[in-house]
Amino acid sequence: MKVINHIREVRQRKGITQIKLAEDLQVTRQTINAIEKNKYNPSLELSLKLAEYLDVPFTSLFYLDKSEENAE
Amino acid sequence: MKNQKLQVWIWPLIIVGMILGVIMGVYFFNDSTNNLSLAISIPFGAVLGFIIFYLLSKRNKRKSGNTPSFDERNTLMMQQFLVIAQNVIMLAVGTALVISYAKGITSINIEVLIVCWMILFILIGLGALVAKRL
Repeated sequence: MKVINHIREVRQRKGITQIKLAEDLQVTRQTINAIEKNKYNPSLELSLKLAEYLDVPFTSLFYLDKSEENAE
Repeated sequence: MKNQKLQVWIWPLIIVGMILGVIMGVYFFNDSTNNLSLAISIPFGAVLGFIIFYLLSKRNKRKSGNTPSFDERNTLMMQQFLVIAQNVIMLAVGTALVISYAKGITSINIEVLIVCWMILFILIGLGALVAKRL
């Protein structure tokens, strides 16, 4: 199952740029971009930091895509 | 904080190490004249490398703010690249040895080995650079 996230939507809603987010969480901008595009699953530490920084519950930021499982 | 201190010291240490290594190498192994002019090229290269690195890091800082140049994703990609590189190199070296043996080659020059090692080293370095950028 794939992990999907809502980071881009939440970030844009709060008016935070990728660079600002990357600077504050001390990761590269490319990593933020890869996470937002669901190409890279961040570590548990970074995921928790993201949830805390964006001030949203962890489970509403990340969730499992069950459509693949249902398709099978 | 500890990492930042290390980063400050790592370049001078590399340059001084290279200079000392070359001077010692020329002094101990150059049996004819101990010509130290050979040693000048290496520190010059190291200093030039440092200047290029410094200019590039300044440009990157201007471009992407105060973000680090390396994070958990880069570490993971580097690990994956090194595992793949290790397997490919072991396979390639094994194949080259078997082919050489089949062709009847029983000895090899150290110079050829050094050149092969240098090419391998450059390829791994370039690969690591590409893996980091992905």
